[in-house]
Amino acid sequence: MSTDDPRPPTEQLLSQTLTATALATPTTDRSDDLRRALERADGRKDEGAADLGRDEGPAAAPPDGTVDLGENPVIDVLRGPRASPRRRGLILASAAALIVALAAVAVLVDRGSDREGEVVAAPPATAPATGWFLPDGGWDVVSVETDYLDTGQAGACPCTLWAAARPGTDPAAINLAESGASKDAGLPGMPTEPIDVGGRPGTVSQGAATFLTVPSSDQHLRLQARGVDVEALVAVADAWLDQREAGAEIDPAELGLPAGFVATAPQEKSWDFEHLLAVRIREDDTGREVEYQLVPTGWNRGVLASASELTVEEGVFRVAGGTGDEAYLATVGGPTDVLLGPPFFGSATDELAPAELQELFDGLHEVPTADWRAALEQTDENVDPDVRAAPDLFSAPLTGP
Amino acid sequence: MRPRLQDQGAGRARGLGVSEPGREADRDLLLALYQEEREGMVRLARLLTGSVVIAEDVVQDAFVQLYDRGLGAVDQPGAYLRRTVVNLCHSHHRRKGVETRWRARQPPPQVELPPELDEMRRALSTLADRQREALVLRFYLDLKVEDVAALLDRPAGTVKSDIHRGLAALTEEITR
Repeated sequence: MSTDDPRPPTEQLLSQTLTATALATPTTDRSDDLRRALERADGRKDEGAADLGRDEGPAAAPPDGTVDLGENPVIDVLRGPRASPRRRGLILASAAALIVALAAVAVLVDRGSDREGEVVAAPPATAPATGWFLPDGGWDVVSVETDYLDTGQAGACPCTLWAAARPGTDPAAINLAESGASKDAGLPGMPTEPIDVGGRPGTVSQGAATFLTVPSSDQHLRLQARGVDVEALVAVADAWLDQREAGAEIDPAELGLPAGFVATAPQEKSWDFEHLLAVRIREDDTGREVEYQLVPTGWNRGVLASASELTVEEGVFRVAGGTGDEAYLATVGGPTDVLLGPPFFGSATDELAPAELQELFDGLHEVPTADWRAALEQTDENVDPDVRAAPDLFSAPLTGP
Repeated sequence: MRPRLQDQGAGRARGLGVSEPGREADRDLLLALYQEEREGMVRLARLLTGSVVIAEDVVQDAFVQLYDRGLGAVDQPGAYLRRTVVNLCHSHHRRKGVETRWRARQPPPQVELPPELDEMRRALSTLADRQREALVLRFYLDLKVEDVAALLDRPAGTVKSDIHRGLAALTEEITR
């Protein structure tokens, strides 16, 4: 090392190493390859098919550091601060007033017909679900927290949960829940108007979403919808109640759903509280951390009512929505809802680019309980003991208070 | 004498390359630039990715992107290329699965260095990608922290932290 160099020895050695390594790096003149590549690029231009998605030059990223995803412009960098468990509880309690929880035993999928309300049952899943999801390699579990959500309907369940949505960009959606006890009509802080639902007294509140309630002493019905006319919502509620009063099982095909809707089957839910798992993971190479949520019974299906993109794959809704701090990705409709990012209490990350988040989300996959527990062994703390003990996401002690 | 893009390309108007003669001229200019910048860019990419093969591919892609963008639209082709190479190397790090598979079937590097430098090189390979990127740009290209931050699109404070932690890890590794 030079005695004239005032830098610390490590910095001197590092500079020398980098320079020596670089100078010793053999390089090959690939001019011919490059010329052919440029000619191919000309061909793409001629076809008007420039591959913008591959451009990672300086101009590819806007000044704010976000990345334009081209055909997938919905998801921006997720930045919002992570809610504390206490904060989450408050948020969840608020969400409980706004979001209708929906779960499915089987999912009905649209056959592509534009005939109103036509739905068909999807084949049932054959493999038993554990509800444990882990990412592809390169990430370690840091913590798993459990949050319990008071539905505000203690003693009212079993409840019936149901959802329907129209896939596409800016989809429409209807979430519905019914329970055996009447709750206060309308929603806190929202103006409520009386409305007739097939001769039954109901109330409606309209804001970013529409909330329709039909309270009674023995059957309480609440619908949350976006992109659906109040008249259409009333028609669905009316048809639902007609089927109930006739003593029939609910048939989504007879609910008069708007065209293009895909419906879940109604499901009876036997417990009166909800829980979610917040799984925090750390990337091996970079130390970056991300959190995703696993929800066994469908509180996250509220995302259907705020999604900006929605598709149906294998009977499961794949959802993207929000922008900036509120961006999220989710799959709902299967035994487990998986959510990366907001709404309400989503993970905070300001380090992953949208494409990285998409890649991470796509890599989340269900694993056997043994694999899940092995992953939890990577961390000695910050894992709820109930999570270590439960045989799956749907069993005690996770399903009890 | 080779045409110099810095002299000729910077003044070219957008739209050159639409006609075939114009495209030929742009290709010649880009190939001339390739001859000038190739070694430096490959060396940088090799330090960032740890692989000569990947470095060569990254540099090829960077030149194609510059060509796609249009030579006349870039005032400083050398700076544009460097940033594109850094971006592509960073993207490479994101594709960890591919990288891991590739590394698994690669022979060890053939570069021979004095023992103390070889030890430092091994220590460098143990760092997190983000730390290694910051250190290479800071101590190989001799960029200021602010310039490293701009190149990596990270806050300067984060880059400072990466450099500090990276140096600490290297010191610990080589004095162990």
